[in-house]
Amino acid sequence: MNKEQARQTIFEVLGEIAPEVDPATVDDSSDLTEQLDLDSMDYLNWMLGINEATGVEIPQRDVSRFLTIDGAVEYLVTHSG
Amino acid sequence: MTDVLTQTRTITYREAVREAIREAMQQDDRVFLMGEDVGRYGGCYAVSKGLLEEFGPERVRDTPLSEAAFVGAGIGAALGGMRPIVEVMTVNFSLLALDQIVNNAALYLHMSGGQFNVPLVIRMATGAGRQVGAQHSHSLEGWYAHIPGIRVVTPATVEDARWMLPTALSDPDPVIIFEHSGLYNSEGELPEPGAPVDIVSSRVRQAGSDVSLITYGGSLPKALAAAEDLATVGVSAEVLDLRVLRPLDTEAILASVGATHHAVIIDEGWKTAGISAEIAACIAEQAVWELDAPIRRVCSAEVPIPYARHMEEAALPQVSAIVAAAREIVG
Amino acid sequence: MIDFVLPSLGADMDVAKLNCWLVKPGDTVHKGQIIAEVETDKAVLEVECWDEGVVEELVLAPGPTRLPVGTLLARIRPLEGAQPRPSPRVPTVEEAVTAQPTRPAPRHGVPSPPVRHLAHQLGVDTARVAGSGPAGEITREDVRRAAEPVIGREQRVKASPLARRLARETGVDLGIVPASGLAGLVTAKDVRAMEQVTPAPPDLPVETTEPEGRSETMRRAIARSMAHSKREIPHYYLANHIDLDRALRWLTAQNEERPISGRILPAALLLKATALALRGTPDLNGHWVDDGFRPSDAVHLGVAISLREGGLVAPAIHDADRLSLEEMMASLRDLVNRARSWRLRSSEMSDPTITVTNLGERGVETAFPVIIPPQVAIVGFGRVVDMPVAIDGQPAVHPVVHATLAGDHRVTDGHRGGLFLDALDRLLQEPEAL
Repeated sequence: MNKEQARQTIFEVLGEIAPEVDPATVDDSSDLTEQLDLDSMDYLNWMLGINEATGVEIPQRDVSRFLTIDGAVEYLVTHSG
Repeated sequence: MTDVLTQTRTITYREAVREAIREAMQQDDRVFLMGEDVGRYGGCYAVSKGLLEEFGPERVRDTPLSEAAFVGAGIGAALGGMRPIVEVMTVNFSLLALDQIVNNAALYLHMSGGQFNVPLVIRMATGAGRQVGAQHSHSLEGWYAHIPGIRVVTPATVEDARWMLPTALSDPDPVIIFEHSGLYNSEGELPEPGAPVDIVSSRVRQAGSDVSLITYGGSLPKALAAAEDLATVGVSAEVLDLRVLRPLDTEAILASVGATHHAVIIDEGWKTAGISAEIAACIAEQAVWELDAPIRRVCSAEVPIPYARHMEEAALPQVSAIVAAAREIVG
Repeated sequence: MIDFVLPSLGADMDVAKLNCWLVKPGDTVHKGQIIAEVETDKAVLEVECWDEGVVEELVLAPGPTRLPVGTLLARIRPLEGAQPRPSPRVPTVEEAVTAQPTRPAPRHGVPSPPVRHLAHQLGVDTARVAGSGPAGEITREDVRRAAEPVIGREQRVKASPLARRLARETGVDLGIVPASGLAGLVTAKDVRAMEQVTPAPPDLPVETTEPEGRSETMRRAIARSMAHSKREIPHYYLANHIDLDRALRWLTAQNEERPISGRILPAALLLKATALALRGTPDLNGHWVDDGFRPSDAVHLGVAISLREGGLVAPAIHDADRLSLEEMMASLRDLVNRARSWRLRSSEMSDPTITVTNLGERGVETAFPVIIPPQVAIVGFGRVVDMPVAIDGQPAVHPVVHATLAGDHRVTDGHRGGLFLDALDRLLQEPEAL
């Protein structure tokens, strides 16, 4: 998976959780909890959605990599086939 | 029996009808009575007993056993300027005159472009309850109420039995009066002196606040009994006697349901496509925002009315069924 | 087994005496065979059996007692492959005496197979459905009602037309009105009762010509409820620090073993601990109704969930004290998802016996929540903060949460509330037992 595909998947899943968010307004490098008012349940659902869409498993210790869009994209690119 | 102090008189429904016919014939030469066994026999239900002796065979006419013939003759007489009272023994036999009533009497005014009124009054006994078998136990007043061009009235009290007839006779168009056969023996108080009553409006026989029991004719006593039973369990029932099935006094129906917010309709006809369905539709169309529960209808079971007494009782609307329906929706 | 009962053998036959049996246990009987002789007031009559089978038991012996029609006389075991006539069920005396047509309190009954099938089709968990049939039996209607979503979809709430009109006129949210009418119908009386609990402000417009957004309706309902709560309920507040070091370490270790679909959030831990802690102080779990406290046998934990468009709902996780941690997490996730997509069920809205809010998310350290009437307590958890603590006289930095309890002082006092918070603390120190 390349960066573009990863971004697309990430935003698609995010769209189901926070449908009112416009991807163009999101700052890829800063904390999503602050920007998008996500709580722990939203995070869990987001990562679960990514896991289901891509098959990439996200172990507990790697959860902190998903605090920003950049972090999530990088993780997916590195860990997908 | 006259009570000079309070100016009411106890009288049976049968006697009230007889008096009405007699007075009408005394006051207007155009009025005459015609039907099977109305003369020598005095009427199948003894309503016209003594009238032949009083008025003679020209004005109290025994007819052959052909409803189509004598109803047709009545239409002809009405067209010719008379004011006939045609007695069809029961609504069951009126089926043999259905074409006369529905296609002639009801339509001449319309089909003649307003030239010909048919000032005909037909009286019929209706209803069940005395084990006379399926063919003799129909309640088809609901069918007749379906037909534009006729007025359908259902006197349930002695006052209405006495005083609807003169108003009906003064109507230039056909009026059918349904007398529930179970009511003939009932007794009631007749105000003295009386006066003709309207054949337009319904009457609240008993006011109440929790549920409207909407009914007519032979079911009125059952509704009143049910109201009494309901009062003992704290449910205040309003009993509305429709008196006229065509045209329905929808204003009164809606006003009652608007106050109680619960409606139970009691009709001895069958539920399917009966007059109860028309009343329920009116309520649903025009007062749906007043309903606090579904409408309930207590009608005869969907079977030919049985002959055996216990089965007939099970088929006809009973007080217990009315009470149960009211309690179910009032909660 | 076929019940052979005394049949009605005449139009006005009500009773008869059993004169004699013409068969004995073990005899094979055939359809149409005369097996007994009874005597009515009018005649001695032969009674036929209408089934094929073997006489199992002659329940009554012949005698002078006049038996009512329908009395069980004998039992017949049907032959293999024979189709027995469905026998009329004769109610026992106890049943006849105790049968009451009043609305039963919500109870869990075992539903019949067709009802279970319907529940399976609609995805309804019958263990969470209150039965409105006789003796608490779950009916098809109950299942259908439980399957209906409610918030924001007024058409799906089963309410009488009059109730709808009143609700529109007074701004009561039909979705949160408990129903008392026929087969789960919300009636005018229910709407008016809701109004008394959450009376409308006097300047509320009677008719709105523009359809109102769900959020606005919800805000108004919340406003009324909160205003009522602060007006009527004497709140007292207690707070406690709870050291979550052990709990969070344990949880992290647990989650490392689990795939992402099985991860458990700290919120689930806090909810489980709350539910269990309530067992020791049942006077925090129930409702204030008609000037009195009604404790609840079950713990239905209301969970405050914020909605993305704004607004808050607090639907119930039923029987929270009986759920495993995994089940609690699954319930929580399911509830949050459905709440945010406006697909909650009416029982979830009307059943909470206590509410938990602010589940350790970002935001404030300490919550001072408002009790949601008719409940009598609410638990709040603030943000988890790293704080210095003393362990065996040595300083350390542990994650700590402020837990608050607001209680209805008409029902409990600080002592009872304190017992609850203590229990909560103790439970969270042994997370593996949760």
